[in-house]
Amino acid sequence: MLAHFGVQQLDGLGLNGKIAAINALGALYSYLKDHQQNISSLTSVKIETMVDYLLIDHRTDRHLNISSSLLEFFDQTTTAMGGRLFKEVLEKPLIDTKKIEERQLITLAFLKKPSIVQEIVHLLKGVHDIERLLYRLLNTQNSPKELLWIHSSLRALLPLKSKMASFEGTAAHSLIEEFPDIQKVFELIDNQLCIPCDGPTTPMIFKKGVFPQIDTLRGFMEKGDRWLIDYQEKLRKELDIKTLKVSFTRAFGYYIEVSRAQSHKIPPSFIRRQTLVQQERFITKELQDFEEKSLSAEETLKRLEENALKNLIQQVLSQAFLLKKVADDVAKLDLFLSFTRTAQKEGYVCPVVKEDSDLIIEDGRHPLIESLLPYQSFIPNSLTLDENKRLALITGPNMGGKSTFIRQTALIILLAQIGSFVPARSASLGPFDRIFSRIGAHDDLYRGQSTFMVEMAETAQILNNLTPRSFILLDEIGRGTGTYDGISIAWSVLEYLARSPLGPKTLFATHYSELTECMDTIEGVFNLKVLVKETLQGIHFTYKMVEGASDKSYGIHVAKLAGLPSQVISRSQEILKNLEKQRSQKPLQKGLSSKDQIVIF
Amino acid sequence: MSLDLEHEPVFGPYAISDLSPMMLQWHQIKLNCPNALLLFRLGDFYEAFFDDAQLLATNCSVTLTKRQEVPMAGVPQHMLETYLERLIQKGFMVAIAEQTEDPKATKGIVKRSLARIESPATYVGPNEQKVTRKQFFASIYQLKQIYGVALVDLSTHSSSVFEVESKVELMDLLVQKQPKELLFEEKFHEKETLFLDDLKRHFLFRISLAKKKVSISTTITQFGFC
Repeated sequence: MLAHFGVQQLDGLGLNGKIAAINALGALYSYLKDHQQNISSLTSVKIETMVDYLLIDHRTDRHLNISSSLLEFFDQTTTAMGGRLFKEVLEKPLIDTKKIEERQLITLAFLKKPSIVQEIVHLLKGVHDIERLLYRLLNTQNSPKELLWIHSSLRALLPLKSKMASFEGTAAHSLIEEFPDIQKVFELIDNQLCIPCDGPTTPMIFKKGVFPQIDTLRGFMEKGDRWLIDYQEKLRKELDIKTLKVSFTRAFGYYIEVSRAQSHKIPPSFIRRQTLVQQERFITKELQDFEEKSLSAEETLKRLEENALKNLIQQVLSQAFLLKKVADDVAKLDLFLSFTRTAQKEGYVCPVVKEDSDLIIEDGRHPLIESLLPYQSFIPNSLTLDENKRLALITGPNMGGKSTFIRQTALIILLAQIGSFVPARSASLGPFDRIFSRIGAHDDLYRGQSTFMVEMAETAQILNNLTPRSFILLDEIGRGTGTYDGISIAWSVLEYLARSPLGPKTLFATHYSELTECMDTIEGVFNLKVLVKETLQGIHFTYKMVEGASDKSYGIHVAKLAGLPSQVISRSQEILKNLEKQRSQKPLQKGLSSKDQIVIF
Repeated sequence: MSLDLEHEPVFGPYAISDLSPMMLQWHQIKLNCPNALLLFRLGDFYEAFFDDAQLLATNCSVTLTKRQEVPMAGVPQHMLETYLERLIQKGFMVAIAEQTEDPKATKGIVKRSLARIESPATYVGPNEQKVTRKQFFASIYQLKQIYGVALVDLSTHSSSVFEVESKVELMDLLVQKQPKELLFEEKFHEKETLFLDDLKRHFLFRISLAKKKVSISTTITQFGFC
């Protein structure tokens, strides 16, 4: 009954029927409550579904360095809130072309006014982590530091609205359409707190004139300091002890200190408090009276200030909802400023994302590698994948740029779908719903899986989860086993993908040039190769992709570049010639005898 | 490193009757947070006793001493946040008991009570640096083939739920969000050791076990329904 009742009620949250999610949430809330956490600020719950976003599994994320290097490179946000939002946006690339376009329009508007962008970025530099400051205020209500930081953040944001008005078009304005009026909260803090010029460290918490009682006590204590100095002067003169001091310690309170040599000058009316090696400390009735008054004043002041601070914090916290909205809007703004600055700095273009299945990239670049190379020395490459050319089989030498090419394609898709601009001369694509990748080789020693086992498990996962809008990257599949095993597996995977009725777009890089011969017959497959120039000095990689199949893999050239001993190089050239001779006699399709395999290994 | 379940709540080899009045007070507070390392305010110090003292001493390099045969280690009051941060980073849950009345105004022992409990997913330190990762507390509930996942970040007031239909997706989600703490039922913990081992290779997290039978009512009251 309760469960039924609960579900009915939870309908309003959109949790209807999500029993597993409700249970997970319920367990967590009751755990947090049991552990004295204040969960009152969790007033809504977001129901996330995987279907609205481009899915990228954690392996692909790692292969493409998305949440590591890419995030680091692209995240040009200024505030912590912006940084967190950026990460979230990168984790959830959109599929809805309208939403993608909305994001692009904002960046476009920003790009038209670079100087305003600069100014707003400058404003945001003064904004602290409002969200987490609020949380700290809620939990530890004792220091004015958090309030001061919120204050300075708000002060920085005061001119935001008028600055934003300079942008053209509704897209940019929609960002802060509902930006709350922060003037009141700002004044609330500004009127009461004493704002230090350099960092939040001050003995004075409140401004003069806010709380008369506090002012009176402060005045009294200042007078007290004055009185002490005068009293010391007076005693020095009266007793003729120039080194006499009146001071204070926490443990003993106020005292009059004279050196032992001078102590005979002290009149008997003074009461001895403490005897040290060199000094004697005394107290007088006068000083005792002063001590009582001043200590009680100090205590009262402390109590008053604490209460007033608590009060102010409560007042600010009552505006938590507004401040949270400020934080959210700042995060969004920061995100687009980041997109804008990257697009500007790196020379990106706005991609066309439309309901269409073609992928056309003209002069695409790898965002990370490009940034590491000298200006404009990265060789761009174009790519078109459509209904007739769905699967590109890429051959060519190692180090020729195959891996960079397939990775950059995936990254351009990803960037386009988060609504960012992309590193290319132009790009047009229909949104994808999954990016799969099988790149590189690594052992999984923890689980006792070999390189090959890992490779096959990952491949299996791709083939079993294909969708019509999948983008697949396969790099050197079948490498972790014997050559002919490897070729056979690569071949059949290729066939499976090419013939799949789902027709996923695929980039298939391999250095098994044998594969290219057999692919002419399958519809949708085409060959790309890395252009290699052979000169008298050796080979020269152009890093340029052209249509066609590569006949050589130039592995030995690469080995030579890597510095293998010349004996090994010349011997391998010998073996290669032998093998090529045999291959021309016996076509690969017929398979090879066990004797041939022995020659290889 | 990830702390599997909390260290067992063995408070010490004592009989309740042997405890001094102050240690009795400590014991009562400790009962309310058996899984946390309890820092107990004593004058200008926060003290840990028995096993907590041992843990504090080894993890924060503070001196382990004894008082009336009770192992004890402490940190000065003004250094609390520093040590707290260190313990949290090591995956501990830390409870803090404060004095709730003025020592000067009371005779006998001062009243103390549990002021707050901090753990990796809920703690926000006083230092302001750019924190670009949300610090999630994740809760997993399996219902046949469906895994319900709730992700809460108290520090940014966000809370979201997911439902995924395979362990592969569950892994993807958790690796992406990298929660600092995980909450699930004991049976999940027993059944899914391999999965959890896998997860541990991706990131560090603290595990807590949920009480059996969670009632939906918690969720309801939170949102002010009924």
